Amino acid sequence: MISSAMRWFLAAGTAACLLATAARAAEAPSTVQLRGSSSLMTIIQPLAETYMASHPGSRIIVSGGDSWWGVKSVIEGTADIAMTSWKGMPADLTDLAKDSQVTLDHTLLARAAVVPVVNPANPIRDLGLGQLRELFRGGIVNWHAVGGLDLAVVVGSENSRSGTFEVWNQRILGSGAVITPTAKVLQNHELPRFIARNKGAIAYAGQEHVGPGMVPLTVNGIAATPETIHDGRYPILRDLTLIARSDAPASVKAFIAYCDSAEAEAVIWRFDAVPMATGLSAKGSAK
Amino acid sequence: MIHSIRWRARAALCFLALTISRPAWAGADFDDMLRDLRCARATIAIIGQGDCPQEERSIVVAGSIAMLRYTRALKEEFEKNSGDLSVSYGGGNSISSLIAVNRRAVDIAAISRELKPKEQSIDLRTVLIGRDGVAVVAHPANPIGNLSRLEVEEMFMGTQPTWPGQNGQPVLPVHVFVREENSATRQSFTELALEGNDVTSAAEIMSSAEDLMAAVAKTPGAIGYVALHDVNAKVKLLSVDGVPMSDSTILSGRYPYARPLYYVTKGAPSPLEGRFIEFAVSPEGQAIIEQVGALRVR
Repeated sequence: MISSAMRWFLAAGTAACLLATAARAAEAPSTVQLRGSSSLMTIIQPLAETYMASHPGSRIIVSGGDSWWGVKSVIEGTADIAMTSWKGMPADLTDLAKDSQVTLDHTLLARAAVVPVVNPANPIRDLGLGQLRELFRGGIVNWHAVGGLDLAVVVGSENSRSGTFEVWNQRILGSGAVITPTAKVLQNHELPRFIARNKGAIAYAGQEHVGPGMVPLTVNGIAATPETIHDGRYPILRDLTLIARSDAPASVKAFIAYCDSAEAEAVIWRFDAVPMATGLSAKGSAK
Repeated sequence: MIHSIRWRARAALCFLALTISRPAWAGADFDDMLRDLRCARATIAIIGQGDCPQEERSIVVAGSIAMLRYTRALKEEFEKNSGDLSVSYGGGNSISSLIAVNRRAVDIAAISRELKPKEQSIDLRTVLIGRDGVAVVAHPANPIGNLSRLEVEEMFMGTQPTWPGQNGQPVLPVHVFVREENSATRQSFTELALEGNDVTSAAEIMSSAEDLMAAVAKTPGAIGYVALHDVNAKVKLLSVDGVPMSDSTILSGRYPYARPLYYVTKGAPSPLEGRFIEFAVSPEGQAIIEQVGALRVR
């Protein structure tokens, strides 16, 4: 239907458009936008600042919004990199990626622990997985049932789109139980206040978010340490992963490579996560 | 016969002319081409609208007061080159504009905070167009250099009436300074730092950033807030949660009161919405964002 004359005009027009687009892309400063897990964000933020300091003209913009939001944004193109802190991608997002014909690259940066936390006035220092399950699903409502004080249990949790919630839900509650409807849903920065104001509080957090006024518990007698995280003995772990489109520009891949590099490991260690690139061997020098 | 050759030649020339002007036809099939031809503006002008969709002429953006100054500046420049296309802006705050865009009462919500988890949905799209920050300011001789987020909240709400104690120093009472009701900075600070709550009724209201900073500079126990682009040297900037405010900590988001500037659409943006948002993140649009006082993000 299209004559060769028309094809020639079409080809010339398309070539002109491509040249114009390439020229515009070369002028733009390199910016990388990250969205996602507030847990991984605390590690990425100092890395973003050191990267910007050593790469003048680059801008690394980091936002929260949780793991699910991060991946959805990358799939639809409103962010460059997703920060995730779950164990695996949920089905609705793999479907979205497939429907949008987007392939994603995953870079596993580190493995980290999620720990239960209580108020310092609570004498309990260790809980079993079964006891945690009962506390969080509302089967146990008073601390004396697990050998503690005569004190009502007050449960704190994260919103259901958070990677940390995803891990806790899968590992502690499993497929047979749901979190107690009386649980208070908290954002990260609300956790210290929640623990401080409730003597009977129990919540969970990425290990890097345990601050003053919050006491982390051991689980089944095992403390979360670099060794127990690395060898998987500590039972509640998650993967800290950066996810980007396979066709992302070089500036995006360069920042991911930086986060996965030996230079970034010191920061990862500082936040109690175990870098996957070298694992324990570099631990001594990094600390 | 001559008549039919001329007709064919004319038709072929028209078709050729239209083809040159439409690089999008490079991959299209014949039905697409016919539809494009039928609904081209020139064709509509000659033979009427028919089944062709109405082209958008204007979009409505609603949002927070902080987004007003950025949207107004972008819109002025955008409308210079957009022919008869126009952008109109309605006020409100981040919450009300999100509700409005969800109901499709407006085309774009302009918000200056992150979406809350319960506001996120698979069909809501947020495009970041800039970042700025709100500084917490104190008297230059105040010995305190850092406050936690909790302390900031409690001091502004009146539940912490004195500055954290310094060994041997007399206790310093907190004197809160805030901006007036329809100030963009007040609205942002309320959203970012106070979880939407009101400040203490003892707070003194100042009607400009300069007035607020002048008052803080002469009141030893003062605490106040100022947008990034308004900060002057009269006041002391405090770190929050150990993080000082800087371009770097605003971009990384480590500074807790970093303020994101977002355009939000429900689903993929319509052509005109898309053009306006593309303009906002283009080099020209980002230069405007910088001029108005935020940090570029593209």
